[in-house]
Parts: sequence; structure tokens; C-alpha cells
Amino acid sequence: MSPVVVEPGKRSARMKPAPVFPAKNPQIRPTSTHRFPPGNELKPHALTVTEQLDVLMLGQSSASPWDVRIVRDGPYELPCVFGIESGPEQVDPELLPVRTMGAVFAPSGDEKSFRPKRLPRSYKPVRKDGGLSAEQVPGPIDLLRPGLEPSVLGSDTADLILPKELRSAQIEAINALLGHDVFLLADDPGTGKTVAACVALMNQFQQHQIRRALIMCHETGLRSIARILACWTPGLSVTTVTGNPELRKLDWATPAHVYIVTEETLRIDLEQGVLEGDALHFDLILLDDVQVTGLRFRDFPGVLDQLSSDIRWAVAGALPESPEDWTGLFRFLAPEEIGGTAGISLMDVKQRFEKYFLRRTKEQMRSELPPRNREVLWLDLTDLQAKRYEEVLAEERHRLAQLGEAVQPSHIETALNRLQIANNFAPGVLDGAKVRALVDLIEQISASGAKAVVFSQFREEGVARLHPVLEPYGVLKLDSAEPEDQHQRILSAFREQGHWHVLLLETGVAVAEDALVEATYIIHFDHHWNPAERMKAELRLHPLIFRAVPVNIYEFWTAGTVDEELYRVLGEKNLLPGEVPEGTRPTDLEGRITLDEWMDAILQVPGREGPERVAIPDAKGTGILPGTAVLRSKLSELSADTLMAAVETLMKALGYQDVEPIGEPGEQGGYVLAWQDAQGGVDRVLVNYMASNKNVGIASARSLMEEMHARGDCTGAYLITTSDFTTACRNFADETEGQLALVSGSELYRHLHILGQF
Amino acid sequence: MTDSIEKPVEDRTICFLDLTKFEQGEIIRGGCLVTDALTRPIEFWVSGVIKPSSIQKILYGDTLQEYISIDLIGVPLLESLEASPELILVREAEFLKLRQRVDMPVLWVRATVDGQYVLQALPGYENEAEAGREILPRRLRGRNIVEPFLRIRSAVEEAHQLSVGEQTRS
Repeated sequence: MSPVVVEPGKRSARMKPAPVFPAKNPQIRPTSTHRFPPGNELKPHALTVTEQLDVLMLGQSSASPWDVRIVRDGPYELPCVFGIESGPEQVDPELLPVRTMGAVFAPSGDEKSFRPKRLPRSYKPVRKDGGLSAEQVPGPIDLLRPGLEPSVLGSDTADLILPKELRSAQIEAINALLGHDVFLLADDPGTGKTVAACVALMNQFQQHQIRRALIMCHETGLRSIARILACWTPGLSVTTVTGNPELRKLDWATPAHVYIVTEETLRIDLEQGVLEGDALHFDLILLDDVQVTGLRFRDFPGVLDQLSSDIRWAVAGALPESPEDWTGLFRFLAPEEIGGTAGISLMDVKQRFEKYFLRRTKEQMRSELPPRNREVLWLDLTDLQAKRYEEVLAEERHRLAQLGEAVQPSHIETALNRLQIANNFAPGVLDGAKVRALVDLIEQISASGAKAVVFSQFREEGVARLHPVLEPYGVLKLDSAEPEDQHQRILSAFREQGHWHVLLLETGVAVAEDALVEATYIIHFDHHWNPAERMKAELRLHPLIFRAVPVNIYEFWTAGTVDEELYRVLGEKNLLPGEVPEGTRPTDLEGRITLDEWMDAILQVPGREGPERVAIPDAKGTGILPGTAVLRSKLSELSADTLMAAVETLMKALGYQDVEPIGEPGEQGGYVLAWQDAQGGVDRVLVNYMASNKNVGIASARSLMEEMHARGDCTGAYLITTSDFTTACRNFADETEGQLALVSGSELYRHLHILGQF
Repeated sequence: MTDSIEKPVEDRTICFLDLTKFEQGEIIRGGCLVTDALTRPIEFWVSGVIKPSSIQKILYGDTLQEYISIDLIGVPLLESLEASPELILVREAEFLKLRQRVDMPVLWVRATVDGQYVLQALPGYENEAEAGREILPRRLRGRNIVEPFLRIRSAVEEAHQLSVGEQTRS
């Protein structure tokens, strides 16, 4: 139909009406209606279809079976391609609860303690059924703890977890370590490298970059590393792998974040297959205080080659000084980088590894280091030293006990001097725990080019014996035997000649009027109890008016000796060297520890108000006993079984209701366990009985106490012998404050006689 | 709450409760961290894996999130605690309804448009929000309040990677 055209101003024509057509079948047919049932009449039932239906769904493929409507015999069919199987028994709609797993974390133990801490383990070793097992093993949630602690590197959180603020040099070191999978941190000794490395290690754990790490160090560094980890990385489970092979096997097998081990122990455990398989892999290996000089003459990396790790860091007091030492070190750190280094010059090799190390001197960090930094190094005596020390201690205790009320401070000083000397060297050799620690320290200091003064109170038993030990490092000696006109010559040589790195100085020998600021390290190999004496010696070398290169001061103390009690008493009186004000004179502190404190608290001389031995109850009887010879012959006639039975009888007579042998009795003796009901629980004791002709010594007593502690379920122990005990053994028992009771042959015979056995 | 206010701030313990999703939301785990006033960890609990099936998602419908948050994560984790925290802080609003099931304040750490954080209580417990703010150590007032939740999330992710806990029946 053509469009209507209307011109402006014109009217259109009228429209014609449209045609009309009638509609066909206009009626709407009625349909059936049904009442809609109310909700409570609806009984939902499961649609059960027992036959397989092939249904093809077109279009929306994500619809679930519930969206499909199947109309039988109807005009519509929705074909779908999946089978429908449904039955109420196959569908479990309920979302069930799940298990929760968790852990309660022990406090970090940052309370102040004046005792050296035990070498840590992530678990508790316990002896049971003749074997060693691990208790309190960290579970998977315990191992998540580092990430749940405040971040050690967060600007808002570091102060919550770190004991003090990191210096900027340490932060720079941490960033360098975190930025490299291979790195050598070679700042001067005493500048906080190990702390920086440990904080970087903690950050790796917190970021879940690593789960298992190894730190290798010297024997004398074990306690130091353990202490740094406890202070700076709380939340890490740490195990020091040490002790007998059985214990070390358990150490390696029990989960921990960090394992600390010496090279020697690692070598032995690898050779004996104690550490093998997957346990050879660590996410990170840290070598602490690596001796970088003379690596080419040592078997390095040695056993480390058997380990695998993704991240390898090393901390040293200096850089290697020869190309061979460089390649030796990087043979471990980055073996893929040492190719083509044969015949290379020192400058070139240093340049090749430039991106892998950071080296700063104390002079460079001077503005942020404290003028004096004091560190206490706790050391463990060697077995030989410990034996000799115990003998000397027993002798001195006996002597002081004999003196009774007549004891004077000079007697105390004599005792302390003898004990110090026993601490210094193992008998007959130039070796000992302190000597090893000193050599390790001097090695680092001399490698860095610095100088150290080593103080000893003793001329013969200190300075003179140390001289040959330190000779390889360039040592001069100045003691009271040296004529005074030679003092200046020695001091000048030490100051001016670069190859002298150590000055051995007998405490009290004057060093003339001039300070000795060239020595930036001071080591007290042994020391007077009075901290002011040490400070006086230090101030003579480094007067307060001098703000020279910061001084690091080290003090050697020995764990498991009288040193521990002395340190505790000094700490309780705020007399530790770091706490005594500068300028305090030795005479100001002389009476601060009383004679009674020396005798009772520190030296623990028996026969005063010390702990009493637990006595066997007095027996009632005729009191007639045979002589020693008869006694011993009677007891020696007892067979192994009879002796054990006699011991059982004795324990029952002492009130223990149950007595159970541990293992078969041997000719030399054996063990039984005895227990009785007590208030608050069960009183259980471990009994070691020994058939012997010789007096039983302290070693047996000590071993029994270790066994008892390892068991963890005993309140005490009995050591029973058919002979007698040495004085040292009796004194040791006295020190246990009733935990260890001794029953000699005569006492055993007396009780058995009363009980009708003899 | 009265006891909590009287306790010195440095002695207070705080609970942080959160959930983490994996595999594009198909798997859910909860984590609960109790700390001291310095946010040093005292206790940590993690739930097992919760993986609702497609049928369960349909059947539970809109109630699924609440059921998971309260009945499967919140209540079991809080019941596992040995410590008794003074306050529970949550980052998911669903957890607020825990307040009807536990006898301690539950406060939602809600982010505002200007990047700050406010504490919000379940309706009917509004006074606890202000009181809760008083319980909080000063260093947690502000953006720092979110930091512990980051640790929970990181720990739950690590736990999931190590397959800690058992699989749920779904």
C-alpha cells in the first residue's frame, strides 16, 4: 500500500472502514479444576526410578538431574545423554563435622635464668623397656609455629619477638642472605653475623620457604648457637645432635626445624649410616664460623658432599686468602660455579664470586656497634677433664670441711684456683674445652687481620701452657716473670707489627701507661670471681676516654662445674660483669659474697647445712656384724640370682611393695624397679646393684642418675654394692638432695642379717 | 566481659578465627589462633577439609555458608581450645552468629571504605563492640589488627599443603 502523502496545508481524505470477519469457535472449553492441597497434606516422597533412562538434554548442559522433567506419554520429550540413577539410599546430603587438629605452644622461655641452658632437643628422650624412645615429639601443628609468630622482619612486629633491635648492618646482611640461595657472610668476628644468619633462617621458616635446616658448627659453638636460636628465633624446634649413637639416631629421626651438629659427629653418623636416605636432604644448610684459611689442606667439604640442600649459607670471620681456599669453600656453596678456576689469581677468583659474599670490618660498622660488647661462652669439659675436675673438687670440699669454722677467704681462693686450673687443661696435655674454644676464636680473629689479648690468672698453668698452642697465629707473651724493661719492647712489637695477632697477658701485669687499643678483642681464658678485677684489666687496655674501634670481650665459663653456681650467685646479686658499673673497684665487691655463700651455695662443702643423704632406716638387731673380710666373702658367695633376690628383699623391707627386675641378673649385678603408693601418686625408684670387690666410684653414680632421668618415671635411685663407695661418689650422692641413696656392702649385710638371710 | 576489663591488658588472650578457601572455593578449612597481648601464639587449631558436594550445595542452599562457618568450623574449633580467650575476632561476617553459641564476645573486624577497620558485634550485642575495643591492646587498634589473620591464612595454607587433618565425608 503506498504511503499517504500529505502536503503541508492540505487535508487528508477520510479512511474507509476495515472489513469484518466472524471468529470461529470463540468458546473457551472448560477444564477440570482441583483443590490445591495445603502444605501439611503434601507428603514429599523420593522419586525412585529403578530403570535406566537415556535422556538427551539439549541446550543447557550444566543442569543437574533435578532440573530434568520427564513426561511419559506426553507431547514433549526432552532427550538427554546421561543416565539417571537415584535412590534415597545412595545420597547422603548431610555435611558432616570434620576433625580439628591443634597444639598448645609452650612459652618461649625468655625468663631470666642464671644457668647455662641445656643443649636443646625438640623432644624428650626416655628410656623404656631397655630401649630409648622419643616423647613430646612435635606434631604437624607444632611445626607450623614459626609462621604463627610475629614476623621477625616486620616493621610493626619485629619488636614483639626479637630481644632487641637489629642493627642496620645486620639487616643488610639478612637481606643479602635472603636474596641468595648461596651466600658467604664474612664480617669481622663479634659483629653479630650469626644472629643475622639465624634471623634470616627464621624468616625462611615464617615464609614457608623451608621446613628443615641444618647448622654445622664447632664443638665449642654448640651452646652459643643454641642460645642465639633460643633468643632470636623463638618458635623453632631445635635439636642438638649429640651424645651416644643410640641417642643421635633418635635425634635425627625425630622431627625438628633445625638440627645443630658438629662436623665430627656428622661424619661419624654418615659413615655409620645413622643419617641416610631422605634424611640427607635439608632445605637449608648453614655453616657457622667456617675457618676459611687453610681449607685446601683440610678435607673440605668432606662429609657435606653427601648432603643435599637448596640453600647454602656460610658465616666466617674473614674472606679466604688464597684462590684454592676460595674454590674449596665454593666447592660446597656453589659447585657449579667453580669450573675454570684452576690457576686463577686471587683477584679474579674474588671477582668471580663477588655477588656471593658480603664482607665488612668493625671499623666500617663502628658507628652502630657498642663500644664494648661482652659475651659469656659456656663450655663443656671433656670427659678426661670432668674426671679430673671431680677429683679436685672432692679433695677441696674435704679440705674445707676439715677446716670447719677456721676456714678463711684465702682457703676459698686456693680452692677456686685449683678448680680453675683443672678447668683450663686436661691433665698432661695442652688440650681441653677452653683451649679448643680459644683456638677457634683466635683462628677467626687472626684471619680477619685483627689483634686479641688473652688474659689468664696463672703464669705456669695459663700463659706459659697457652703459648705453644697459639704460636701458629703469631703470639707474644707477657707475664710476671718477664723483666720490666722487656715489657715495652713486647708491647711495641704487638702494636706495630702486623704478624702478631695475640698477646698472652698474665692478669695483673702492668702494660705501662699507654692503652693497647690495637687489640680489639679481649678474651678471659680464666678469671677471678670478682668481675671488677676483669673490668680493671680491660679498662687498662681500653680506657673509657678512647672511642676506638669497638671492643669484643669474651669470658669462658664451664658448665657442670662450680662456675654454674658462682654465676648464679653473681647474677642474683646483680654482679655479673655487664651489670657492674664501669669504674667499680675490686675492693668495692670483696665482701659481696659471704663465706657461708662460698661454702654452701657455691662450693657445696658437705657437713655444713647442706643436703642430707637419704639414710637407710636403722635396723633393730644385735648390732653384731662380722668384719669386712668376712662380710665381703659372705656377699661374694651370693650367686647372681641370690644377690638380686637379696636386693628385692631389702627394697621390700624399705617399704616398696612391688619390686620388678629389669632384664636378667648378671654376674656383675643388674637393675630392678621398685615402687610404692605415696601421697599424690606412685613413688618409683630405679635400683642398680653391683657385685664388686672394688669401691664403686662416681662414674657409676652419675650413670645411674642419667638412667633415672632418662626414664622420666622415677623419683629417685638406689646404688647398692657388695663393697663400698669412694669419697667422690658419696659426695656426689650428697649433692643429689636425696635423689640418690647409697647402700654399701656392710649396710646390705646388716639388713639381710636382720631379715634372717645370713 | 567485666573480668576481662579488670584484667591488665598485657595479661589478656585474644582469639582470631578465620577460614581459608582452596580450589576456587571448593574446599574450605578453618583456623583458630589464640595469642597473648603481644600476639605471640599460645594455641593454634585447624579444621579438617570441608568439601561440600554439588548436591549438598543445592540442598543446603543459602544456609550452607552459615552451617559451615558456625557448625563445622567455628564451634568445633572454639570447643577444642584449652585457653579461655577474652575476645574472639573474626574476619568473616558469618562467624558473628557464633555469639549465640559461645559465651564470649565475637567481633567482626570490618574494613571501612577509607581503609580503616572497625569492630562490629552481632545485633543485640552492640555494647560488646565498644567494650571489645577496650580489651584490645593498643598496638592492635588500627591496621595491625589484621596482621594475625594473615598468619592464620598462611598457616592454614601450609597445613593444607601438608595434608594435615583428615578428609571430610561429603
